[in-house]
Amino acid sequence: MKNYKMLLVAAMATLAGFASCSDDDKSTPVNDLKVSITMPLTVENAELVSGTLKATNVATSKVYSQDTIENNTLTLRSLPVGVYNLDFEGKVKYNISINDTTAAGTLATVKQSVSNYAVTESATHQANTETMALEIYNAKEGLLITEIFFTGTLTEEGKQYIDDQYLKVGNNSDDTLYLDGVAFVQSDFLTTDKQDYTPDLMEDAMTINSIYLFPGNGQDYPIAPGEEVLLAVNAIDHTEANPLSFDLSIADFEINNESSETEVVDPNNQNVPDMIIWYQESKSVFVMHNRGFMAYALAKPEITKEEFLANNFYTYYYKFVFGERSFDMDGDAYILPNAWVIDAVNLSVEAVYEWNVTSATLDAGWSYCGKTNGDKNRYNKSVIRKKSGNKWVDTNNSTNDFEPEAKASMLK
Amino acid sequence: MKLLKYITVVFCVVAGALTGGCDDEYTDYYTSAEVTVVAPDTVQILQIQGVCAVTCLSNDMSYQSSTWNGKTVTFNNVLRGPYSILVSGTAMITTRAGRREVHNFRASSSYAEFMEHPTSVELQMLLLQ
Amino acid sequence: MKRISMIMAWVLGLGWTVWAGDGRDTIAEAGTTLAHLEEYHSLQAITDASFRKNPVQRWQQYATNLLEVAAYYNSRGEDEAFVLQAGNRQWAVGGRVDSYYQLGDRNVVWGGASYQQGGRKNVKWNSTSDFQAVYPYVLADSMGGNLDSERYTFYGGCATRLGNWMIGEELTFRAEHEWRTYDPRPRGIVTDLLARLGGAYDWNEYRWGVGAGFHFYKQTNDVDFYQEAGVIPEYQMTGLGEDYERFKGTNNSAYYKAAGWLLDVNILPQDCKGIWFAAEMGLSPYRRVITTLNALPISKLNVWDYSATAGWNAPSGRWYALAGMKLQRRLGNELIAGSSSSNDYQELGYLTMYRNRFLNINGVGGWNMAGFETRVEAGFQNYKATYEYPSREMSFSKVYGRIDARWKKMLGEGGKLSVSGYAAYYHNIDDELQMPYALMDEARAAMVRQCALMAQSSYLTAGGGARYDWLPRWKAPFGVFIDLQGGYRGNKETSGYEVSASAGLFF
Repeated sequence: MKNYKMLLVAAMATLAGFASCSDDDKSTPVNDLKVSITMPLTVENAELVSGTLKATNVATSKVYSQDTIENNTLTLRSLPVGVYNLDFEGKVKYNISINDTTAAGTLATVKQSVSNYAVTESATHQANTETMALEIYNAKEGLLITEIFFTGTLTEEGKQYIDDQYLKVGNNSDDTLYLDGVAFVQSDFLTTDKQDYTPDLMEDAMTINSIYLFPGNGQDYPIAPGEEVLLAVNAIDHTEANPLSFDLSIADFEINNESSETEVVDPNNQNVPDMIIWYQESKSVFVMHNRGFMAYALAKPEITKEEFLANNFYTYYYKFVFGERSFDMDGDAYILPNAWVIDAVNLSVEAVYEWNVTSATLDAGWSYCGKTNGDKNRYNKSVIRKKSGNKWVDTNNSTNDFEPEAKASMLK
Repeated sequence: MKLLKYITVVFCVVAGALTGGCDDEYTDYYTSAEVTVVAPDTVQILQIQGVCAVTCLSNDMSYQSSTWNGKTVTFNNVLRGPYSILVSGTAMITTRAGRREVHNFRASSSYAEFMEHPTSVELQMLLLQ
Repeated sequence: MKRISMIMAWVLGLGWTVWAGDGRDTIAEAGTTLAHLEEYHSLQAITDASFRKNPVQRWQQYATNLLEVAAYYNSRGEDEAFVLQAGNRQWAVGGRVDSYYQLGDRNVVWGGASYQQGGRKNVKWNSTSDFQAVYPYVLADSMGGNLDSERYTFYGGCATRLGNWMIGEELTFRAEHEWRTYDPRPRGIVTDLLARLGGAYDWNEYRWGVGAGFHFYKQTNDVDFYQEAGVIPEYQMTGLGEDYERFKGTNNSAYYKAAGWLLDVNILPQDCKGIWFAAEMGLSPYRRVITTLNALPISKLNVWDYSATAGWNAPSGRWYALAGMKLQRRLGNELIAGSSSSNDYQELGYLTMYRNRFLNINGVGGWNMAGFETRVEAGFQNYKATYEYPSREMSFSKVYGRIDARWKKMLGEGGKLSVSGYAAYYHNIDDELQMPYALMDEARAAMVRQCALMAQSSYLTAGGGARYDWLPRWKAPFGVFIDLQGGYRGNKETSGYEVSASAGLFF
């Protein structure tokens, strides 16, 4: 006899044991998110003048934003519970104290992000809270100095030829950036001459003696991701004067100095856009320190040329010690707030290196061409930023980021 | 016959029950991690302002926090695994001479394991001049 | 090729021995008659065969013997691939041998072998062979391409009666090689062995069987680039578009290993009439090991398969019904890799990041009439895949209905024509897709959306074909056949075809 009942029981028992699958019903509760913005301790009288907080829901890509600031806090109301990327961008006004009575007011664009922040439900209706600490420097914007050729070349007679100096700027981000209004600056202090300057502003600003801006009205000079532009001190074909040099008439930009020395004429290539001169210490032509004793940087000033020249000039003081004698010295220069600096590179030489002339937050190391002061082997060489894959290396440390004593790319 | 009947039913039930067990499931996903900044011997930290960013080396996901409890930042509910840590910010310190100063600082580690419940990591502070 | 020749010779030799050594006198009894072919080709027989996996249950599966040798060609194509990782075109041409033979009253043997060459086109986001077996842990890149393949299989088994007891054993083996001749160049070599043992006892008009099986699987998988300039990163995929970021790039050499098991129980009526029951469960644990990282076991995928079916075969033989379920669960465990020293990583533990469940419940009813048979099926499918963090989910539910019909007619002397057709519609009743799009690059997000679009669409399949068997008396016991089948599958996004043709001889 076929025992159907038993077989049915056996079948049901097996079926009953198999994995149960119950799907949870999904609903989307909401909650508020309060984000407090805090200022760095190094900044005096900092005031958050404006800012926008955006919260991007990771799952839906929907963006919620808020630009009303109350007591340095922004509140996003009724955010659906989930994981968000928070991005804050704003402007901070603060002072850089030059002395007891003088301060340079400055404006800085600040950004901060928090990724994968979980907005959670609250049974007691308490808002989620998060703090975003601002950093008043932006040396991570994407534009980088990718090569500095400062040593010059040698002529066939073995003499130095330094008119062919150049700089390359690259876009290390994934977006198209614009060179319009970006500044190229040279430090006033030497990395081979450490002094106790007063006021000591290095943690807040870079002391510079030359500042040139890329021309343009905002989007006239795009630079695509991974691209480089060539800024020549003189955008001419240098092989005419020195057959061992190279042709810089193909440069994208040039520094055309308004020389007050009538016998010194800076050649101007009409086909190459000129950098806009905000200030240059040299009364004749601009020349990079060809032994590499200075620092160079890219920056994005937040104020006009007139405001910069009026507010950012200062006089520094130091004691020059020579043997047993010391002399009170002073110097005039301009301060470039660290908040504006996009990328900075310190250059020096091992035998005479004494210090970096920028804050370590901008550049914790230095690079070089040559091992000694006036090294005769330094010519035709550059410092070239290393690449990792198709991105440039950028750890804000020129010791790691640059290949020293590399053959100048224009000579390859 | 009774024995066979019994065996059949038991086998079916056990086969069904086995669907839920006998499985390698590892569900200890998350932990909390405390990152503490340790000052050099010559200074004492009074206040810290800054961002601690931890990045999971397995999936490249990162988390940031600026909420300091003294010298410590706590990340609740991070995926267990290996992380790199970078702290940057400003610190108010007193020197051995008693002078109060404010410095930018950095602290970092290229590898830290967030595996225990909770995990605690100490990083040496690098004061930037 | 030498090995294949040996296998073919073994199988053909068995058939020759059967024919040459058989002591029967009449031609009609020496081989298989056309009418008896029905027990191999009817819709009910095809349905029934899918539940006779325990080797002992193949005893008296067929009343007559058959040896079939054929050459075949299969092809399918879609405008857009239904499964990106499988490509939108596939073809195969090969030869096969299948046999079933009763050795007296106490033994049944069966066996077969096949060899084919083939290929796929436009395989994307998958540089690993056997995708359906080892997903989601595959190597993948965004470029993809076409693949060539070569495969041979053989199987053999035996069931023996010892009074009321029966024992059975079966071995199934597959070896496959898949490759591409331009960059990126994946190469997969698969060996897959399944050994099954079964025992049964005849009691109370039923055959009560239990069985066990062991599954050994290995695949070596690597991707090469011959042109240095064209090297693109290969991703260690971990499920629903996620990948193991730490090991992406140039870790292009890996292997899979699995040593699995299965258990089955089946209660079938000895006369094939009345209620019956079959259930099976098994585990295949696939380990994926990266050879370029000192044999780092980056993932462990536990694939659990369960099935249970109960059915009824009417005493008249005219109709049958069954209801059943199939469930597959995948648990993906990812390695937590610690610090490394010279590419030697510590193993800190595992996390079950990927879960996947596919449930199919169906009911089938079939009717056989003189010269015509039909089969209807209705069912429900539920699929859910999740990734723990960052949270991802893809799921859908479908209800479906299918109808098959087959008409057969004897034609002239020694000819039999059978014409079959089917149509099925899978209607999607619910779906869900949650992805952390803000964290995904455009190519990855597009891939996930495309996979979800195809998986969550309702679709129609339909097709038909004809088979002609010819066994005139003067040719007995050797007959010849030709079989042509074609089908259509389409959803609102794309449509495709499949064709198969085979021809050969039987006896």
